Amino acid sequence: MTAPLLKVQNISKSFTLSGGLFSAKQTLRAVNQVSFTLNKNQTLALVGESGCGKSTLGKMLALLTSQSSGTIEIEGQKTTGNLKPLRQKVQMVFQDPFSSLNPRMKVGNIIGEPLLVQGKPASTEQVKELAQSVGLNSGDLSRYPHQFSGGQRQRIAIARALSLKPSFLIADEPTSALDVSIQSQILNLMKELQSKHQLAYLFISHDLAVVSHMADHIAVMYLGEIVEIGPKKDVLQKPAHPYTQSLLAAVPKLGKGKRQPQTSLIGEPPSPLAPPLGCAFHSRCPLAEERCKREAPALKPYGPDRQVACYLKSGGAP
Amino acid sequence: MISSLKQHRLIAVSGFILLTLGTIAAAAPLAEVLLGLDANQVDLFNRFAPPDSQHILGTDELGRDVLIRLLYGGQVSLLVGLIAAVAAALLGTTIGLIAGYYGGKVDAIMMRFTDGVISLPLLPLLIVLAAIDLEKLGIPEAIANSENVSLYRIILIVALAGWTTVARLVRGAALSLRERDFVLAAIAYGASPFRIMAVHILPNLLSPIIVATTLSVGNIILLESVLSFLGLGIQPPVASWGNMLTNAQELIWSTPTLAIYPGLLIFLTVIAFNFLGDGLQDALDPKKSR
Repeated sequence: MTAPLLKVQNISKSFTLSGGLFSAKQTLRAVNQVSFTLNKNQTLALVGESGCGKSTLGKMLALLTSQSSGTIEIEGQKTTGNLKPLRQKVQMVFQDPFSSLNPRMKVGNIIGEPLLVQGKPASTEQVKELAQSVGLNSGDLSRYPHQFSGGQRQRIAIARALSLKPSFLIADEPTSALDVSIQSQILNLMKELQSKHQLAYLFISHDLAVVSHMADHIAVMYLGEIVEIGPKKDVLQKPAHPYTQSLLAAVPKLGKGKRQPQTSLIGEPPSPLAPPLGCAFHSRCPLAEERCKREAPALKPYGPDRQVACYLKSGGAP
Repeated sequence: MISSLKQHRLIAVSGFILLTLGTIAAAAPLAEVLLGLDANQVDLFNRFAPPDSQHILGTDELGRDVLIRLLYGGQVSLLVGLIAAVAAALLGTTIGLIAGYYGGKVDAIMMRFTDGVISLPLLPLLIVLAAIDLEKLGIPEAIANSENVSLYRIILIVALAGWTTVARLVRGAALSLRERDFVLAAIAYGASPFRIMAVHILPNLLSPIIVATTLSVGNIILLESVLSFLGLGIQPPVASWGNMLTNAQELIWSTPTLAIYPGLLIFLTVIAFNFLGDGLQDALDPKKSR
């Protein structure tokens, strides 16, 4: 087997917060010891609550911030030294299409700029083709971003990301700022582009409906750690980790009566400034035992192609 | 809608006043020829002459034509105001952009330097700077003693003292812009820091810079007249509105018009620049215009 497109090993990111003149410096652990691999033409969805480190992980993979420790390999190349050639392989689509396009640039220039920056200026034809591939008219190219709706702006952002023919696209909640009717258009466009260009996606989202539509694999994050990772079907239908179970239980269902009260989560996630000892989730876990408060469980295999970080499941694998 | 029309009327009126003043001032040599006069021609037999067909605004204490001197003074004052404001804006933009984009230590050092410049007592400093003997600095005598050297000197002084406002403005805006997603996207496709600053940050800052620069022109014209009034600005025989006021101060009781004309022009110009700045501020604000 060839090397995976993306190989992430034990990456962590912590931020140092200077707490003012008289208080001590604090360390915020945003992402902690995350490992996974991603292959061509695959979508890995990253789900979790706000503040669990999804976006920080995405930014590290887009080479926008450097990891505190661990390694990232893109097509076998480590992300060190001169990043400029490597950047062609990874591109990012942002959440807010109103902030991700330069308001003073024409759409044609926005789409063509990555190629210009990488030293291979795009011809008008190339830019037109890119625009058409995401469903824009060639007449749109001489207009400014503010003349477009959110959905069209997101199309522009996708065209810009695709201009370098990347092999890997990070989409940080690409549809959460859009109307529901537009969301499906963008998602279908992304799927279409994926099969056309054999793209790999890292799809960051907290919308499980969107995730079930897009993903091949799902990774569930809690407080900077992956607590469960596996094929979409397994994770969504037979969630193993108590956190995944409660996330799924929190999705409102039509016509199914009340959701089970025992699995819904109580309270807020703990502060990443002071993560709890032991399993990060034990403070909110309905099934927590003594052991969970002392030692943190590692991510262990659980069935084929699947891993879970929970004492209740490891060893008890079917 | 009505308020935005009013704002644009503000721009139109103040712009018209400034353009007219500028055009008339630029036409000073033409007026000299038409009236058969010379700005620096002393005519001691014709001091304090009342207005007549040749000397439309009369003559001053040396018999020079007041109108022609006002026009030449206008050239100097407007030129000093515009060039110094633009030079200060360029310097301030560069410093603010670098500080704001790089942040961290670069920002801290540059902004502490800026704070230092801001806290210098400006007027005494300008007086010292204006008193420097250029010949002793090794500048060739021909330049050091030329008629216009006081002009260049005052532009330089004002620009060196006036860049701080723009620098702080640009730095603050650049700090927030560099966190925007389109800047992150540009980093992600490999744009260089220079390109990001020039293509992605600067164009989004132009309107506040233009407004601040316009507003500063008025202040600089005032500063020039203060310095000239103190005898440290534009040196006679070159006329400026400021030094015309200086000449008029002993004659304020006998010939008040000699002080009133340049004073009125300074007032008009400064207020027009301030209105223009205010109007531009509203017109360039995307939230209002759309």
